[in-house]
Amino acid sequence: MYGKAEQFDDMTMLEVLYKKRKVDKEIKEEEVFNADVNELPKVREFIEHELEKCDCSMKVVSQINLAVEEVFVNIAKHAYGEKNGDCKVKIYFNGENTLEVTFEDSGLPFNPLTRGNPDTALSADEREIGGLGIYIIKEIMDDVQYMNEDGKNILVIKKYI
Amino acid sequence: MNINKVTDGKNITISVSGRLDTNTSPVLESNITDIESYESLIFDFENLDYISSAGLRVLLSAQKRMNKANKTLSIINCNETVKDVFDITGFTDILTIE
Repeated sequence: MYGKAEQFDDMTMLEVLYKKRKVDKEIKEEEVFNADVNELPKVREFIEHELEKCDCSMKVVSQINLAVEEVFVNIAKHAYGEKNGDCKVKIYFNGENTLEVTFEDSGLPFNPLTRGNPDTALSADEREIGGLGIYIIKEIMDDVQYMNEDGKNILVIKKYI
Repeated sequence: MNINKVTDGKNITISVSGRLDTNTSPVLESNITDIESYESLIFDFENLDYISSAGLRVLLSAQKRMNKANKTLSIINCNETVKDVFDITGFTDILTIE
Protein backbone atom coordinates (compact mmCIF):
# COMPACT_ATOMS: atom_id res chain seq x y z
CA MET A 1 0.00 0.00 0.00
CA TYR A 2 2.79 2.33 1.02
CA GLY A 3 4.78 1.43 -2.09
CA LYS A 4 1.81 2.26 -4.29
CA ALA A 5 1.37 5.65 -2.74
CA GLU A 6 5.04 6.35 -3.30
CA GLN A 7 4.79 5.43 -6.93
CA PHE A 8 1.84 7.73 -7.35
CA ASP A 9 3.87 10.56 -5.82
CA ASP A 10 6.70 9.89 -8.27
CA MET A 11 4.29 10.03 -11.18
CA THR A 12 2.86 13.30 -9.90
CA MET A 13 6.37 14.67 -9.54
CA LEU A 14 7.19 13.68 -13.12
CA GLU A 15 4.07 15.43 -14.34
CA VAL A 16 5.07 18.55 -12.44
CA LEU A 17 8.57 18.47 -13.90
CA TYR A 18 7.22 17.92 -17.39
CA LYS A 19 4.83 20.81 -16.98
CA LYS A 20 7.62 23.07 -15.81
CA ARG A 21 9.77 22.22 -18.82
CA LYS A 22 6.90 23.09 -21.10
CA VAL A 23 6.69 26.65 -19.80
CA ASP A 24 10.31 27.57 -19.20
CA LYS A 25 10.04 30.92 -20.94
CA GLU A 26 10.74 34.01 -18.92
CA ILE A 27 8.20 36.80 -19.15
CA LYS A 28 9.08 40.41 -18.50
CA GLU A 29 6.62 43.10 -19.58
CA GLU A 30 5.51 46.49 -18.36
CA GLU A 31 2.90 49.07 -19.18
CA VAL A 32 1.97 52.48 -17.84
CA PHE A 33 -1.65 53.29 -16.97
CA ASN A 34 -3.47 56.34 -15.67
CA ALA A 35 -4.05 55.80 -11.98
CA ASP A 36 -7.81 55.79 -12.50
CA VAL A 37 -10.32 53.03 -11.67
CA ASN A 38 -11.69 53.28 -15.20
CA GLU A 39 -8.35 51.93 -16.44
CA LEU A 40 -8.92 48.68 -14.56
CA PRO A 41 -10.23 46.72 -17.58
CA LYS A 42 -7.05 47.66 -19.49
CA VAL A 43 -4.83 46.61 -16.61
CA ARG A 44 -6.68 43.31 -16.39
CA GLU A 45 -6.34 42.74 -20.12
CA PHE A 46 -2.58 43.35 -19.93
CA ILE A 47 -2.12 40.96 -17.00
CA GLU A 48 -4.40 38.24 -18.42
CA HIS A 49 -2.64 38.37 -21.75
CA GLU A 50 0.73 37.78 -20.07
CA LEU A 51 -0.63 35.09 -17.74
CA GLU A 52 -1.86 33.11 -20.73
CA LYS A 53 1.78 32.60 -21.70
CA CYS A 54 2.79 30.92 -18.47
CA ASP A 55 0.28 28.09 -18.33
CA CYS A 56 -0.80 28.58 -14.72
CA SER A 57 -3.98 27.17 -13.20
CA MET A 58 -7.32 28.98 -13.35
CA LYS A 59 -7.11 29.40 -9.61
CA VAL A 60 -3.79 31.24 -9.82
CA VAL A 61 -5.10 33.40 -12.68
CA SER A 62 -8.14 34.46 -10.68
CA GLN A 63 -6.05 35.11 -7.54
CA ILE A 64 -3.60 37.29 -9.47
CA ASN A 65 -6.50 39.12 -11.14
CA LEU A 66 -8.08 39.79 -7.78
CA ALA A 67 -4.86 41.00 -6.16
CA VAL A 68 -4.11 43.21 -9.18
CA GLU A 69 -7.55 44.83 -8.95
CA GLU A 70 -7.18 45.47 -5.22
CA VAL A 71 -3.70 47.02 -5.54
CA PHE A 72 -4.51 49.09 -8.62
CA VAL A 73 -7.78 50.43 -7.20
CA ASN A 74 -6.04 51.34 -3.97
CA ILE A 75 -3.45 53.36 -5.92
CA ALA A 76 -6.11 54.90 -8.19
CA LYS A 77 -8.17 56.04 -5.22
CA HIS A 78 -5.47 57.20 -2.84
CA ALA A 79 -2.03 57.78 -4.39
CA TYR A 80 -2.59 61.15 -6.04
CA GLY A 81 -5.52 62.61 -4.10
CA GLU A 82 -7.58 64.67 -6.53
CA LYS A 83 -4.71 64.97 -9.03
CA ASN A 84 -3.99 62.70 -11.99
CA GLY A 85 -0.98 60.45 -12.09
CA ASP A 86 0.47 57.28 -13.53
CA CYS A 87 0.84 53.76 -12.32
CA LYS A 88 3.40 51.50 -13.93
CA VAL A 89 2.54 47.82 -13.84
CA LYS A 90 5.27 45.24 -14.42
CA ILE A 91 4.81 41.51 -14.70
CA TYR A 92 7.66 39.08 -14.29
CA PHE A 93 7.58 35.30 -14.53
CA ASN A 94 10.90 33.55 -13.96
CA GLY A 95 9.97 30.75 -16.35
CA GLU A 96 9.70 28.26 -13.54
CA ASN A 97 7.63 28.89 -10.46
CA THR A 98 7.46 32.55 -9.46
CA LEU A 99 5.08 35.18 -10.74
CA GLU A 100 5.65 38.75 -9.71
CA VAL A 101 3.58 41.86 -10.35
CA THR A 102 5.04 45.26 -9.44
CA PHE A 103 3.14 48.54 -9.14
CA GLU A 104 4.94 51.88 -9.16
CA ASP A 105 3.39 55.27 -8.53
CA SER A 106 4.78 58.70 -7.73
CA GLY A 107 1.99 59.68 -5.38
CA LEU A 108 2.07 60.39 -1.67
CA PRO A 109 4.38 58.00 0.16
CA PHE A 110 2.11 55.34 1.60
CA ASN A 111 2.72 51.81 2.74
CA PRO A 112 -0.64 50.01 2.50
CA LEU A 113 0.75 47.03 4.40
CA THR A 114 0.81 49.02 7.64
CA ARG A 115 -2.97 49.08 7.63
CA GLY A 116 -4.42 46.80 10.30
CA ASN A 117 -6.33 43.68 9.28
CA PRO A 118 -10.11 43.66 9.61
CA ASP A 119 -11.47 41.49 12.41
CA THR A 120 -13.00 38.66 10.38
CA ALA A 121 -14.56 37.12 13.49
CA LEU A 122 -17.08 39.95 13.99
CA SER A 123 -20.76 39.67 13.06
CA ALA A 124 -22.21 41.35 9.96
CA ASP A 125 -23.57 44.21 12.05
CA GLU A 126 -20.21 44.79 13.71
CA ARG A 127 -18.08 44.45 10.58
CA GLU A 128 -16.98 47.70 8.99
CA ILE A 129 -17.72 48.22 5.33
CA GLY A 130 -14.41 48.44 3.53
CA GLY A 131 -10.80 47.83 4.44
CA LEU A 132 -10.86 44.40 2.85
CA GLY A 133 -8.80 45.02 -0.27
CA ILE A 134 -5.34 45.03 1.32
CA TYR A 135 -6.27 42.12 3.53
CA ILE A 136 -7.30 40.04 0.50
CA ILE A 137 -3.96 40.79 -1.21
CA LYS A 138 -2.01 39.62 1.84
CA GLU A 139 -4.11 36.46 2.13
CA ILE A 140 -4.00 35.27 -1.47
CA MET A 141 -0.43 36.19 -2.42
CA ASP A 142 2.63 34.35 -1.14
CA ASP A 143 4.70 37.48 -0.61
CA VAL A 144 3.87 41.19 -0.59
CA GLN A 145 6.52 43.89 -0.21
CA TYR A 146 6.44 47.66 -0.12
CA MET A 147 9.37 49.94 -0.86
CA ASN A 148 9.76 53.66 -1.24
CA GLU A 149 12.55 54.44 -3.67
CA ASP A 150 13.37 57.68 -5.52
CA GLY A 151 10.07 59.18 -4.41
CA LYS A 152 8.13 56.22 -5.73
CA ASN A 153 5.79 53.84 -4.00
CA ILE A 154 6.70 50.33 -5.13
CA LEU A 155 4.50 47.39 -4.25
CA VAL A 156 5.54 43.89 -5.29
CA ILE A 157 3.17 40.96 -5.06
CA LYS A 158 4.46 37.42 -5.59
CA LYS A 159 2.81 34.10 -6.22
CA TYR A 160 4.63 30.78 -6.27
CA ILE A 161 2.90 28.61 -8.82
CA MET B 1 -22.10 42.19 -15.36
CA ASN B 2 -25.78 41.47 -15.81
CA ILE B 3 -28.53 41.70 -13.21
CA ASN B 4 -31.83 39.91 -13.40
CA LYS B 5 -34.59 40.28 -10.81
CA VAL B 6 -37.49 37.93 -10.22
CA THR B 7 -40.08 38.65 -7.55
CA ASP B 8 -43.47 37.40 -6.41
CA GLY B 9 -44.02 40.67 -4.54
CA LYS B 10 -42.94 39.18 -1.23
CA ASN B 11 -39.58 37.62 -2.05
CA ILE B 12 -36.99 38.66 -4.56
CA THR B 13 -34.24 36.74 -6.33
CA ILE B 14 -31.49 38.79 -7.90
CA SER B 15 -29.23 36.89 -10.29
CA VAL B 16 -25.88 38.48 -10.92
CA SER B 17 -23.67 37.24 -13.74
CA GLY B 18 -20.18 38.15 -14.90
CA ARG B 19 -17.88 40.22 -12.74
CA LEU B 20 -18.68 42.03 -9.53
CA ASP B 21 -15.70 44.37 -9.33
CA THR B 22 -14.79 48.01 -8.68
CA ASN B 23 -16.33 49.10 -11.98
CA THR B 24 -19.57 47.11 -11.82
CA SER B 25 -20.41 47.06 -8.09
CA PRO B 26 -21.99 50.55 -8.15
CA VAL B 27 -24.51 49.20 -10.70
CA LEU B 28 -25.57 46.42 -8.34
CA GLU B 29 -25.74 48.90 -5.49
CA SER B 30 -28.14 51.14 -7.40
CA ASN B 31 -30.28 48.09 -8.17
CA ILE B 32 -30.86 47.11 -4.54
CA THR B 33 -32.12 50.35 -3.05
CA ASP B 34 -35.55 48.86 -2.16
CA ILE B 35 -34.57 45.43 -0.82
CA GLU B 36 -36.04 46.06 2.64
CA SER B 37 -39.51 46.02 1.11
CA TYR B 38 -39.19 42.24 0.58
CA GLU B 39 -39.33 39.54 3.22
CA SER B 40 -36.41 37.74 1.69
CA LEU B 41 -33.69 38.46 -0.78
CA ILE B 42 -31.76 35.74 -2.57
CA PHE B 43 -28.66 36.51 -4.57
CA ASP B 44 -28.22 33.82 -7.19
CA PHE B 45 -24.53 33.75 -8.12
CA GLU B 46 -24.64 30.77 -10.47
CA ASN B 47 -23.15 32.80 -13.30
CA LEU B 48 -21.00 35.10 -11.22
CA ASP B 49 -17.38 34.50 -12.24
CA TYR B 50 -15.54 36.94 -10.04
CA ILE B 51 -15.92 39.11 -6.96
CA SER B 52 -13.54 41.67 -5.45
CA SER B 53 -13.65 43.72 -2.24
CA ALA B 54 -15.90 46.25 -4.00
CA GLY B 55 -18.53 43.52 -4.45
CA LEU B 56 -18.09 42.36 -0.87
CA ARG B 57 -18.82 45.89 0.32
CA VAL B 58 -22.17 45.87 -1.51
CA LEU B 59 -23.06 42.47 -0.03
CA LEU B 60 -22.11 43.45 3.52
CA SER B 61 -24.08 46.65 3.26
CA ALA B 62 -27.12 44.72 1.95
CA GLN B 63 -26.79 42.20 4.80
CA LYS B 64 -26.64 44.98 7.39
CA ARG B 65 -29.74 46.63 5.95
CA MET B 66 -31.70 43.36 5.85
CA ASN B 67 -30.67 42.54 9.43
CA LYS B 68 -31.82 45.96 10.57
CA ALA B 69 -35.19 45.51 8.85
CA ASN B 70 -35.49 41.99 10.27
CA LYS B 71 -35.55 40.46 6.81
CA THR B 72 -33.45 37.63 5.39
CA LEU B 73 -30.71 37.53 2.81
CA SER B 74 -29.12 34.43 1.35
CA ILE B 75 -26.68 33.64 -1.39
CA ILE B 76 -26.98 30.57 -3.59
CA ASN B 77 -24.98 28.74 -6.27
CA CYS B 78 -21.53 30.34 -5.75
CA ASN B 79 -18.64 28.93 -7.74
CA GLU B 80 -15.33 28.00 -6.07
CA THR B 81 -13.59 31.27 -6.96
CA VAL B 82 -16.29 33.33 -5.29
CA LYS B 83 -16.50 30.92 -2.33
CA ASP B 84 -12.74 31.25 -1.77
CA VAL B 85 -13.07 35.02 -1.45
CA PHE B 86 -15.93 34.59 1.06
CA ASP B 87 -13.78 32.15 3.06
CA ILE B 88 -10.67 34.35 3.13
CA THR B 89 -12.59 37.40 4.31
CA GLY B 90 -14.75 35.64 6.90
CA PHE B 91 -17.89 36.38 4.88
CA THR B 92 -18.79 32.69 4.98
CA ASP B 93 -19.63 33.22 8.67
CA ILE B 94 -21.60 36.44 8.36
CA LEU B 95 -23.61 35.74 5.23
CA THR B 96 -26.01 32.88 4.66
CA ILE B 97 -24.44 30.94 1.84
CA GLU B 98 -26.35 27.93 0.57
